[in-house]
Amino acid sequence: MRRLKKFGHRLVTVSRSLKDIMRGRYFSLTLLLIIVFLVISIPSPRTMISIKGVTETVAIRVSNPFSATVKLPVARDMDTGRCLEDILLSPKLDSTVYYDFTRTGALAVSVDGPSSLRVDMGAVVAYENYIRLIIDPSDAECGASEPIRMPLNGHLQIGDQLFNQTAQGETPRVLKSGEVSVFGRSSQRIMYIVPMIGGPFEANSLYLASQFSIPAGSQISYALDRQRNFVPWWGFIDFDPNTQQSGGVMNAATNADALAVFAPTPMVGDVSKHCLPAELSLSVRSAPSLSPDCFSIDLAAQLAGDPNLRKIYIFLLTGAALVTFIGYWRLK
Amino acid sequence: MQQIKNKRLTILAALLYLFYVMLTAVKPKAEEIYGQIQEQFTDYSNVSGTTLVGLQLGAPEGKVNLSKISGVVGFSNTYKKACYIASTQDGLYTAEGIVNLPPQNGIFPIVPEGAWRHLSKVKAYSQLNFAGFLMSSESCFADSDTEFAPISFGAESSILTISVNSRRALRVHASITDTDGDTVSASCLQAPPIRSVAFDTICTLDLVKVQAPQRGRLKIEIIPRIGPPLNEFYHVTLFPQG
Repeated sequence: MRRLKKFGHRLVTVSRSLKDIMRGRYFSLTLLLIIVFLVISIPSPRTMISIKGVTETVAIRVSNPFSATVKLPVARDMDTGRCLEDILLSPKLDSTVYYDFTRTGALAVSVDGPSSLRVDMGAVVAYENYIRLIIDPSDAECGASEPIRMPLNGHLQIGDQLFNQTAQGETPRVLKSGEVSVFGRSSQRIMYIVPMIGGPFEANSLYLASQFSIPAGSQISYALDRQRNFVPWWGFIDFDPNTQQSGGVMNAATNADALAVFAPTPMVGDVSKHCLPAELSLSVRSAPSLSPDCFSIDLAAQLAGDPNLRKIYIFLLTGAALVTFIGYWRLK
Repeated sequence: MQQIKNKRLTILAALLYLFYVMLTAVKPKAEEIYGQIQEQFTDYSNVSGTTLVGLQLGAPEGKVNLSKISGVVGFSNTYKKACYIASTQDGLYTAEGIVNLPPQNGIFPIVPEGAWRHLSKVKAYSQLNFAGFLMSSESCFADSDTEFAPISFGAESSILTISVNSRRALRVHASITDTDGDTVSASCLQAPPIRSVAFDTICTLDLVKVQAPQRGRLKIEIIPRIGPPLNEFYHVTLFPQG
């Protein structure tokens, strides 16, 4: 009997609380709870990072040989001195392709690792170790005159670290300018279960979360996913032999969650676990090192930028305004 | 009377201080590589374009303990002084100084005037991330006659580690030709693609394979991404001569 009474009291309390909420009491608390629930239950956004800029060097570790083939109209083999025409250079998986732009306006394309070369639609020649080609506009016999577009497909390292000029006169080839845009993809579910598809919600819509310039002399080293694995880039770089400026104009994008950037004045301290790939973090954790700066999308940018979340805010605010109005009206 | 007493006390104090200074002053011993070594540990990296960054005798194992660092002296008959240069791979720590060499050849501890300033900070580095050498130059600039000698952390092995700054070259090859004309090649390994500012390639060579391992000529061949292949030669003292 007592228990029944207690249960009855509780029911009355709950119904009073609901009435209070309906009247507008505890309104801010309820709103706060809904927002906290929303924030907790939103999964981390899937992101896309894009970069456009001018760089004097790019290294590409090939992750898909078919998409890394370089087509060049003409180039000179740096080791044999031969002038080659109508070149198809195919690096193998895990080889590294370098595009180096000299300050005199030349472009060097080299492959560290196995590759194959086809010249003038002739037989394919395999290179086991490396190949080095140069396109020098000042080379009267073997210089290109038309702009060349080359692929940037694979794991990229953009820009070289700064060092003093060497005894041989070698200077660092740097990232001259770069602008990074971080895009988020709209949330699709709340609590990983409740779908936000249909009606006012948009599936797979991109929103710009942040945009910033990268200082000249920086080195963009890793694009990583949440499991700290390398993520490939997709893009292209243009070489214009008619321009006097050194460097190629690059445009590339990746579905990475984080981007590691070594600034010319890098942060010193503990190695950032988040920004280093799993295979490297162990080898460098034993020694202090220069930690990269890490760029990724943060919760604030997601909450402010996600179009689906914005619709939920509008829905909440409309509901809250309605409740306040009804409560105010009933009290009157 | 009081003034005389004060003067006596002052003189006594001065004598005591002098005695203390004499007692505590670190005297260079005949079996030490001793000199004023400038050290700095900064929060920015010092990057040089030098190709040869370090020579280390003994397989690099464990952490760097500067109080156990020693140098191979094999050119003391010609030179009384040498230049000691060392750095960590990330370029944060650098050390340089002119040191006095003992009159005899051998492996001797390197002792700075005063004490090592960044002993504890450098202790965090593994020996593989540390490079240095002695060179027979009082200006710390090398020419074609300059001799180089390795440092050591006391490991008893005949492994020679050569730290090279290849600036991400396509290929690095190192070899040593001894006084008999025999050449032994080193195996070179490029560091993982983490930012490495002072050196990016480590070559190792077992000196047991060198027939006359006292002195040799180190050849570093680099295939850069642009330009002709680079060949650099260094005179090196490997094991101290009798």
